[in-house]
Amino acid sequence: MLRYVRTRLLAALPVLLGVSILVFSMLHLLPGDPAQIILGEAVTSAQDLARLRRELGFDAPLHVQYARFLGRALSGDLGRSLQSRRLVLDEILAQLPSTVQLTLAGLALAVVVGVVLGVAAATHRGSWADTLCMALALGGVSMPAFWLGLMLIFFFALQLGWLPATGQGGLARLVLPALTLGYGAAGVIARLVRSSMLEVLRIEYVTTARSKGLAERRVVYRHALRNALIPVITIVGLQFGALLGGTVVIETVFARQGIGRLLVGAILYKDFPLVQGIVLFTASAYVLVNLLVDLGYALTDPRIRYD
Amino acid sequence: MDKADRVRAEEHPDTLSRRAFVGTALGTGAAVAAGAFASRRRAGAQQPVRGGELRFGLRTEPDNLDPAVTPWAVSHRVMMHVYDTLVWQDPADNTFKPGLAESWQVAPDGLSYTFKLRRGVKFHDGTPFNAAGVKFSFDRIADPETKSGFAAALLGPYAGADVVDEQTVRVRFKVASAGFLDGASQAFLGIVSPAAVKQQGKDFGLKPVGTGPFVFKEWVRQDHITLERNPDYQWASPVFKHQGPAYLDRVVFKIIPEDATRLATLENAETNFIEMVPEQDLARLRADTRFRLVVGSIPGLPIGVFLNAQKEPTDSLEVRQAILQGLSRADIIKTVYFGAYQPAHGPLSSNTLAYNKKVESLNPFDRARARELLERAGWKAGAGGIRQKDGKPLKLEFVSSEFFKGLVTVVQAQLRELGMQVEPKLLANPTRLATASKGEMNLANLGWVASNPAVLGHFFHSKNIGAYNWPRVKDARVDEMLDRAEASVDVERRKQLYGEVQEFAMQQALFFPIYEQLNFCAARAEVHDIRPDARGSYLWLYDTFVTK
Repeated sequence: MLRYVRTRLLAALPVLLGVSILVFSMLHLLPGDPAQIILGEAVTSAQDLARLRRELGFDAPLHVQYARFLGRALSGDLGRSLQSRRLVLDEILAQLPSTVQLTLAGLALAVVVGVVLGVAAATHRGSWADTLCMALALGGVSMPAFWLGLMLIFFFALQLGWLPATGQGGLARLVLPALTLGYGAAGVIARLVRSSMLEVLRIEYVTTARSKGLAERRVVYRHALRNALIPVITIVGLQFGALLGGTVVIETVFARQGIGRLLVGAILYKDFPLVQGIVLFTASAYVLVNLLVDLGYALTDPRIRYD
Repeated sequence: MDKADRVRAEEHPDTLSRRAFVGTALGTGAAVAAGAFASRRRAGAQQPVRGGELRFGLRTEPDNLDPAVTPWAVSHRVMMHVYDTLVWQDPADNTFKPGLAESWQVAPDGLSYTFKLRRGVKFHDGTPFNAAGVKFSFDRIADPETKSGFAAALLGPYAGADVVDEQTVRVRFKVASAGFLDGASQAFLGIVSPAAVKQQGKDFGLKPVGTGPFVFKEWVRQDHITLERNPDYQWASPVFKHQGPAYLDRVVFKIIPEDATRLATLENAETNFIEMVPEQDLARLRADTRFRLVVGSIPGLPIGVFLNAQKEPTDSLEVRQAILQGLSRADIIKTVYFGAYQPAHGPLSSNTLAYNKKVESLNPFDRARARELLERAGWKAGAGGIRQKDGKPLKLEFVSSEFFKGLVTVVQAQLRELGMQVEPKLLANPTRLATASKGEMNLANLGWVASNPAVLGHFFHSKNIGAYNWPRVKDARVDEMLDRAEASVDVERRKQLYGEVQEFAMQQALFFPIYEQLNFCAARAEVHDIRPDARGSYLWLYDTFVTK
């Protein structure tokens, strides 16, 4: 098991290296000069521009710039943001708790709602309950988060006045963003749970369990669900990445702190060090989560072993 | 002056929202015509009360609060309460009033300004304010190590400052600087605490220390910035309505990028003041007694379209005149902007110093006359309703951005009626600006926030071809007028010279002015006395109070 983890972590290194090269070249290929943005977009004297580019190290050839960046990054120094002039790592760490909180809350909501809807639909196949659950799931898959967020603000913050529309801190401020974020993933999970569950319910051991006289509830939740969840775990891992990306829109609509918003601002500013730092950080998180998902299989299914 | 004003117009693009791409337009605002718009007071003036807080919904977040470093308007909106300036510009008449400087004298050659400073002023860290502090602040901007963009531009041809005595400082320039007071009245040239700068170094912009009516308290990135009342404040400028400490206990700037959300927070009182109200919501807010609109009128270049006088077919005066006279700005304002703006008539908004009223009668809307001009220039009716000359169709390239799509579409439709084919190129901002600066277009829209009429030099001085001289005009007489105006400290003389430049631009049909920029903000009814400054873009909160 430990060896497996070690191998996987080593295999992650080329992935992260690839990501960093990709981001680095994309940033430098896009039009727009960060030095010019810092000096203001108005035309600056060529001397000023050259001086600032030199001070920022943008006058060196690309591969030299990349080598410098990589060297610093390996020693844990992601540099300073060009705009705020704060340390990139500080910027990321300040925004991280909010994004993690939102992503986990959204994911928890997605799993609970998704599994409940999926199981209900599968066990009542063809009934009105099935139709209703799948209609709800379809809504989650097809509604844009941006629109859903504004609608939730309109009803719960403006019309009913139950919840605040924006900001950080406390459960009350987390409910609407988490709902907006989690609903889409809940739809995906519900549809998957339903089909996976239907498949499992047809397998012989379920029939055996039933013939032994076990209560239907026990059959469904103890025996069938556990097996039906394996593909679900995969999709949860993938959804985690999607949710991490999806937070940008939610963070903007609900004016929450977060990595996503930080990244969009950094891209628009051509704040190279900040963009590189955030992407590298997010990619690492993604790789790590997928490793955890793979390890999670072993927990749900004793037949899977990593030796 | 150049980058400065231009950059202020560009809003801080840290959001996905449509307004992030407003470009040169609605970004900032100024309020000279405050009388007509600002703070519509309901019947019965309120007595100011102490206490309470202003929760100010900002669309974007400052990058940092070091005036020497940040170029953004949004930073100014926060910094202006933390730092004081040497002088203040009175929005009522555009004159300069005392601030940290009690009085000042401009040398007749315009090469130096001598300021007599107030006594008894203290920075928030307790250190005294004096002439050395002024010299320190300006020297720091001029120091290449600071990498100042915008403040350095406002400081202009700075040569240095002399501490004459504890309360007297002389600021010297390499060439005459007629616009210096304009710069000195902006928080970008606000006076910083030398002790705090030395202590905090690079992090000064995160924990700013000045002499202003509010003291910086905390900044939670992407969430809020809190300022608290400075209890020792006894040096308010006479442009304000009262003396002594501010009325508000604190000001909390909440960063809410999405327009619809920001408006929702005003309605459910999470905020009690917001900036950048979308045009389509203005009528509803105006009709609702729970709110009041605060509107700043922005001086500088109105939103309009430059015509490239060096590229076919707009190199012909008749074609340019036909465009100016064939387009209806009233229709554009009504269709695209819900009638929210007043039409503009020249390259300066009517509230800008040196505005020349004569431009209003030049190029009146007249489609028949526009057709006649085109006929006279040899552009005859051709295939598909597009005019032709020597076998070539009358085609115009219009460089703009996605944000101005509505404007471009209406212009396209209106010019089509006259037989001109407009080909829009909607580009991302950096590319758009570069393309227009290179002159690779016939039409390109722009707007520019500036309280100094010297801004005209950007568009019409031949030295700026390749930069913002988008009409690519090269006229020795105009260059000379602009140079003389920039160096003259005689206000009347400057007005006359800039007035002539405005007439020239309109006679040559180099710019189609559309509307004068406004800064739309909204307050809850219990918030009183928020006043836009002379640039309309920045809001004075020192006199502000909250009832209930």
